[in-house]
Parts: sequence; C-alpha cells; structure tokens
Amino acid sequence: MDIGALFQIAAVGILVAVLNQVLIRAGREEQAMMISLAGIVLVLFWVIQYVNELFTEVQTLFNL
Amino acid sequence: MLFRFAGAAAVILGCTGLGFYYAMRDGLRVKELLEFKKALMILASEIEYMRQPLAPACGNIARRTEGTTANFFQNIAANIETAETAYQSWAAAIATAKPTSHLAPEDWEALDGFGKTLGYLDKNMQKSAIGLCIDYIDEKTNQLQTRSDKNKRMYHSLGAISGLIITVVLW
Repeated sequence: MDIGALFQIAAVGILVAVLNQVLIRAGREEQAMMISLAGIVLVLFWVIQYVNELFTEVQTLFNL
Repeated sequence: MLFRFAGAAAVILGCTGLGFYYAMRDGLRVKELLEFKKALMILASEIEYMRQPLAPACGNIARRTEGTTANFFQNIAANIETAETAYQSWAAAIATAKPTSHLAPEDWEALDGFGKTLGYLDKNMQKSAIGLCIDYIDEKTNQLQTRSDKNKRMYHSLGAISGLIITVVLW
C-alpha cells in the first residue's frame, strides 16, 4: 500500500474537520453534515480497493 | 512535477478568489442600494424644492451619483423625451442596467414597482412612493449588513479550504 494514500486521507480528514467547524460556527449545521458525509464517502472510495485486497488476501491465505 | 505544483497553486488561488468574491458580493449590493437611496433622495428634493421635470431631474441625479446608478438615471434622462410614458423609459433603463449590476431580482422588482408610480401622481403621492422605496432599501441594507458580517469570514475560509481539498483529492 502506498504511504501517500494514508497522507491524503489524513489531509482530507483534517480539512473536512476544519470546514465542518467553520460551517457550524456560521450556523449552517446542515451543510456541515453534508460536507462530513461527502468526506466519508470520498475516503471510502479510496479505501475500498485496499479493503477488497485485504479480503482477497485473507481468502487465499485460508483457502476459502 | 512543476506543472503539478502550478496547477495546485492555480486551484487554491482560484478557490480563494471565489471565496473572497462571494464574501464581497453582499457588500457590493449594499453599496449599490445605498447609491439608489441617495438618488431617490435627490429625486425627492428635486420634486419638492426645484419643481424640475423628470428629464432634467434624472440628468442631475446621474451627475451626482456614480456607477450603475449614474448610468441608470443617465439612460432615463436620455430616453424619457422619446418614450410614451415615464415608466417605459424606467423599465428600459432597468433592462439595460440589470446585467452589469450586483442588485438581486427582488431589488429590481422594488425599483420597478416605484417606476410604475412615476410621472402621473401628484407631488405628495410621488414623495410617499419615494419614501416607500427608501424604506425598502433601508430594511434590505440592514438585513444584508447583518448577513454580510456573519458570512464574510465563512466564505473566506470556505474558499481556501475547498481549494486545498480539491488539490489533495486530485494530487
């Protein structure tokens, strides 16, 4: 797994958290929630291929 | 690699600029509304004390105001002699000024409503129509100033942070 992907996920996490706080302070809770959701979906899209690799690895390891 | 950095800088700067533009938009609208208020107050005094017809009154207003408002009243002063009614030239001036202005459609509706009263009411009625329009502008500017103070910092941070997020996602 490329270490760059980890840094990218961390950066998106930090920026989404800051954006969330900014929007909550401005009284826009709904948009803040949408931004958090969008961040989660984005990171899930990145991570899903690694999760898939993990499952395949486990399957081959235990001959399932 | 150089292109990647240049692209990242362009995206961040572009998004930050967009954030600043959005933060500035309410301020520009307030400025234009206040300029229209000034124009209407001059119009009221032209009607009350100078007893000027609309064409020279609008010409005077155009000279004493600036930006969109000046062009708007200049347009009316130029067209009012040839138009059938005062409202026709007022509506034509609105149609010309709309694309270059920062005013919202509701502001133009209020000004259009005032334009319909132009030219056929007596002095007192005309003054109260101007007063009504000025009241609308006062209320709107108060609302916008409160909203602008609240949203300014949010738009600044929103622009910069969304630029950073796009850069990280595309890196």
